[in-house]
Amino acid sequence: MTESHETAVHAEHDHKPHGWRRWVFATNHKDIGTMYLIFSGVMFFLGGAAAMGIRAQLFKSGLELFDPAEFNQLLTMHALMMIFGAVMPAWVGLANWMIPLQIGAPDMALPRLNNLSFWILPFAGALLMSAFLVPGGAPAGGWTMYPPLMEQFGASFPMVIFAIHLLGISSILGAINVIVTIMNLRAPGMSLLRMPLFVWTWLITAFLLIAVMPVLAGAVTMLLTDHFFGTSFFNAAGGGDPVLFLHVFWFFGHPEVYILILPAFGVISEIIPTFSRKPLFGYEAMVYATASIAFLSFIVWGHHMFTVGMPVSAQLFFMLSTMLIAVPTGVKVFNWTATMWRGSLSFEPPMLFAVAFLFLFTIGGFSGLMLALVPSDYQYHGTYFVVAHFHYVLVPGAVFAIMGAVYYWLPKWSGRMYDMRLAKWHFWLSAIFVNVLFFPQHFLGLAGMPRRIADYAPQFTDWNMVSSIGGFVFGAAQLLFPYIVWRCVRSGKPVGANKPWEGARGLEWELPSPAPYHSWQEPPSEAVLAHGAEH
Amino acid sequence: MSPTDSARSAAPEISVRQRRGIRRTTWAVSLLALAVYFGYMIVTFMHMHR
Ligand code: HEM
Ligand SMILES: [Cu+2]
Repeated sequence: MTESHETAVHAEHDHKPHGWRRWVFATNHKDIGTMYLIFSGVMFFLGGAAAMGIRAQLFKSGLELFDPAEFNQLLTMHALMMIFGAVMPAWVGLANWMIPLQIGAPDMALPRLNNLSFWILPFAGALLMSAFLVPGGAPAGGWTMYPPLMEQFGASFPMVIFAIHLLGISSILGAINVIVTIMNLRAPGMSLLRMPLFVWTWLITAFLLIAVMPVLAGAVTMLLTDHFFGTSFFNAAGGGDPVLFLHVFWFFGHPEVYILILPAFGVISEIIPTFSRKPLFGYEAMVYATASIAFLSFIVWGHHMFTVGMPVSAQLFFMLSTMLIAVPTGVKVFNWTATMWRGSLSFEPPMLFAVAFLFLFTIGGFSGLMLALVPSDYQYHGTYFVVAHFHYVLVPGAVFAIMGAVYYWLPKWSGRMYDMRLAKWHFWLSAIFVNVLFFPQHFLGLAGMPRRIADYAPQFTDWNMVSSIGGFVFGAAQLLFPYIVWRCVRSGKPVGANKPWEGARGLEWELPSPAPYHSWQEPPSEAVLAHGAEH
Repeated sequence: MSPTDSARSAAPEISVRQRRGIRRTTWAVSLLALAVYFGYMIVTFMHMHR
């Protein structure tokens, strides 16, 4: 951005480009945020369709619908679409929408870079999906892409690696933009320790992204050169070591799961105070806990590899460092609970999702602790217990937080209120059937059912049927979500001048709803800042 | 689209001081990302030749 652009920008403040140009050349953080959220929604339903296929196959024992090769493709693509296509872009979309509004900035600091980071995504997504169409089909080695298995796939192998590079570049650019925006465009008077927690958690997430997305890029590049250019990073025959890939991958992989969940912590820390009508309990502790979790996430990767074979001292280190994460996480859960304590609670849809998050994410946290114990992990590793664990943290964790965030801020974005009754239906169906879907998978895992299998021994049938029924109802219930959002944007009741949630604090609520196309052209005054202060 | 269009939606009220800050932070973070990328490639490469 050069100085010469500064002239002539004061005319026509509410100038809004029209037609397709508004979207293709978008530089407005709200438009880009909206596109991210739509992209994420599309990928969520594609990934969800794959999940329905998986659960249909596993409804009873026997190869009913797919042969094992097809099943594994569906499984791998499901995970890649959900992680890189649905959850990560949803967070970037929410960051785009909310960070400028919450810190009193007129836009993101690097709007054209913002355009690029978004528009990489549809191409990367299309490339990823087209893997299904080439000879040999999509990759089927699981989203962890371990060699040498990963290298045994056909034409789609380099396509998926390229897609991952693109997705990674997009996230890195997005992270750069978030950091630069937060560091430079906060309203006068908004010191770091006055920032809303969603901004804080995103700032920390952005540093995690910068630190580990390049590692993933490096790992898949080495897979690529091993395959096509005769290197032997991971090839034992050439002096390399396949276990090295596991180390590099999980050095990315564990921080990655925190990339998926830290912004959720931020959202929950915004919603609970609003519907408890109390300030967040222990704001600074929340910030330090988030930073500690981010730091620890770099030194626990070995817990994914206990059974690979490593010195007992290394196992002890990874076990203890992993269990240490329970401390800052416990601080968070305690503070959320303490915020509700003696609050004047009400249970609108965002709060319902937040409270469900609190209970169900914690279940996922507990099963994580069980998995962190080396001796028990020898039993659980590679079973459905792991599948239950990461789905508890991802679905009623990350995904519920995203839905809660949409239900919380949609009236701010659209100026309209959604159908509360339908949203509550959406919540209750989701919250009940997510447990029907994933809780029995703990039992299956403990009984020894391996993960990533297309068929299973008949004694596992009963709980698999329960799980599949849970999956079908959960999946169907999600169709309500786009319907509710669409109806709200089309014809919801205008929220008018009032805040939709009277307990809400924060700069975004000092703006009219819908938020004007160009918000905070003038930074908010100290008085507005103090009025909107969250704590 | 003229550059003015994007500059307009890009924050008309950004001060020169802020612009300098934006430029510096962008450089710093971008270099950090590159350093991580090549750093890990080099570490891995060294491991391979042990
Ligand atoms: C409708 C909701 C969902 C259903 C019914 C579902 C179902 C499944 C099933 C049955 C598996 C196969 C497990 C195995 O055989 O090893 C699986 C794997 C997986 N899912 Fe989901 N899932 C859902 C949502 C999600 C979401 C939202 C995410 C991420 C944010 C996610 C991430 C993963 C991952 C990482 C794997 C492991 C894939 C692998 O083994 O490489 N899932 N899912
Ligand atoms: Cu981990």
